[in-house]
Amino acid sequence: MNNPIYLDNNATTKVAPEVLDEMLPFLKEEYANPSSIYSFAQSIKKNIEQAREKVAQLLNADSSDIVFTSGGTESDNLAIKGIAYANREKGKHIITSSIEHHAVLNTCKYLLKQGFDVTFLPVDKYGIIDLKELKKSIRKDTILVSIMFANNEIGTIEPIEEIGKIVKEKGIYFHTDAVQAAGKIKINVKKLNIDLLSISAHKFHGPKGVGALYVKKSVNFDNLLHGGHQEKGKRAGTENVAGILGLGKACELAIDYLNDQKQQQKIKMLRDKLEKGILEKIPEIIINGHPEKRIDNTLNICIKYIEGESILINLDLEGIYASSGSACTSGSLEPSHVLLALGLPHEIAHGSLRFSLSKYTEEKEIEKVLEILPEIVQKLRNLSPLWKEKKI
Amino acid sequence: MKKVIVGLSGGVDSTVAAFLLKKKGYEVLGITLKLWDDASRCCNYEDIMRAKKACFKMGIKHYVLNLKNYFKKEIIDYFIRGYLDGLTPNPCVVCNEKIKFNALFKKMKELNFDFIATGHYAQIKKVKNKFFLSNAIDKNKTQEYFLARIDENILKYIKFPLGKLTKEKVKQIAKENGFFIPDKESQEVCFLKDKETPYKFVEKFVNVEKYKKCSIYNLHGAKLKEIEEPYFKFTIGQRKGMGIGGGIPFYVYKIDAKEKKILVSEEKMLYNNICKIDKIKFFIIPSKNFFRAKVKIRYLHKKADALIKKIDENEAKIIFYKPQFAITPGQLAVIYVKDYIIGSGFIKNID
Repeated sequence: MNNPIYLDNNATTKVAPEVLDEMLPFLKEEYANPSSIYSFAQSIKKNIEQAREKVAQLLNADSSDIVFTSGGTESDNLAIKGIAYANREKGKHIITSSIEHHAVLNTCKYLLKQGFDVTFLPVDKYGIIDLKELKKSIRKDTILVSIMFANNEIGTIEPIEEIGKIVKEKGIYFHTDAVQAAGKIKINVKKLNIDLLSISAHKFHGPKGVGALYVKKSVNFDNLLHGGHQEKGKRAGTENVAGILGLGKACELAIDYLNDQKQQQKIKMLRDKLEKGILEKIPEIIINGHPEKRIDNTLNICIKYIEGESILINLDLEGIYASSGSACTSGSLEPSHVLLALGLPHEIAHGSLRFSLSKYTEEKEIEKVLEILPEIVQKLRNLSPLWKEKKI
Repeated sequence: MKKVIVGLSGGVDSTVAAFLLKKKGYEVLGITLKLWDDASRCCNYEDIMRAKKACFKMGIKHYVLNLKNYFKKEIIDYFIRGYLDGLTPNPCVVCNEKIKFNALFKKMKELNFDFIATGHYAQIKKVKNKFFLSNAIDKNKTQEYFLARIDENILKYIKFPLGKLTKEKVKQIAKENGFFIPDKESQEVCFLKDKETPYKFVEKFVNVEKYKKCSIYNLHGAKLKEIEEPYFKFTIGQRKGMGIGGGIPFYVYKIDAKEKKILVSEEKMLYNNICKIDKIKFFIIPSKNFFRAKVKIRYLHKKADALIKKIDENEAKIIFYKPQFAITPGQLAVIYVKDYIIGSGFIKNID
């Protein structure tokens, strides 16, 4: 088989070689526990603090407001449960959206069972939340608004600045899951009035198993993990040193990337080429997500009359890796709650396909996909009774 | 190299089926169908992972297909409706007809494969260029009854590698090659949890209050009793649970869903010669309107001699030479000539 073509970068990304180089010494000779007092440990502690600086720099935050975690899911849990538990005397109402990642959705659903009240805001056909609805939903007992920065499935970017303003006026905490935005678009937590923000290293060429939560100093929140004094007592447990340094390096590379118009243009150009090519070569396609307010690397389409699952398996056998809906642990595909929230009927949502690019994606790979995908779609449609019916 | 898709449940039979095909030199692809979330066996996480691990071990690719929507519509809804209509539905038969083999066959075409296979105990035999289902050599395990409704166009693409093996042999192969062998055999309907009765299952989906209370009558039309339970708790041939004690034992003879009536009778009345079947499907067109065959009226029934009379394109009448016990509406009557399945239909009523 030819070299596989990896177009599932919203699921995870390749670790950048620079990141790996940064990490390796800390998996080998630099093994001391950063909490120890001897100099062997202190140099490691210093490295962790440098990584924290880099994370802060990516977000325009104070480095003392960065808490390292095990990844996006923990960051979301820490933010939402941490706020809910610490502020339950003040109120028990949380506002989020219907298209959040499961790390947010299921945490909110868990809190529902714990006696909290949650409003799931609807979205328009592009996946953008309705600000008027948001304003209307805010109550006296609302303690937290959690809206994602950019959606993982369709790439739509939410009006974070406007949400920040509304929420700030009301004196409520604002958390945003920026797992898909970090490293792809510029983020300025101060300007955007964000109180808490989650990121995950492996979504932008860092390692898996590490992430961070930005928490503004004034925020009153509870721990999830209790134990040692690490992370100033906000997140106990010996630090994932190599991971944290990998995250730091990934942030440094991301800052370079975000200052490099050319690199960003390249991803956008390739994504647009893929989109345009698919529209030209395959009839009956729906493009999901906002036409402009969308992260540059994401293309989500519905191919009518066939199942996303079938396309994925066929692509896999051709060495092209993409995604459809969200896979559960067993690998079974569930219809996407995001596409259903956009108002797409079940049978169309079933035919969804997501391509997500990275800075490592090459033009010839996109061309290859444009060569193979139309053939697969035609073959599957010829076998589909729905397609035949439609043609008659 | 010929390519075959094997449907894997995570159990020992389908695993060995895949293993044998791989050993024979086929290119094998494993597929597990996710049909239902809340099940005792099949399609739960453990089973899917077991299938996946077996594939890792064999070095074959494995995918999971999500068919929950179809399964709900075609099988669960059919099952519930059947009980509410006073029938005893057979979900395995219908699943093989409408879900399992169709899904595998569809994937076979989509992926340009040559065959599909499962771990069922049955054989497919070619007679004069036509393909027929037949029993497996393991008489205690043979499952052709459940496969009787599979479409004729699909039959010729199916391989049943276990058709010529005994269950003992299959277990031995699994053991010798380090595959998982469960402690107990799975026999029951896959979506029923351990010890869950069909009634308990149906109860979860319907407002039972609406169906509560039914009356028990004897065959002479005398009302014996009124009970608090819904009629669909009972099955034809059932003896206990009606609270009619003493005297000669009574059996459920008929369930009248419309009137919420249970008709009971003595045992001998449950032996009947004639029944009507509908949704008939024949693999060969009988030359005469009347022909002799053998018929199986439930999975564990011993094939009995009968005359089959086609009424129209949908219905037929079966006249047994000897009366058969508890001919049950909703179950499949499978028609054999020699050992070949030549047709089937769902039992509609007894005459």
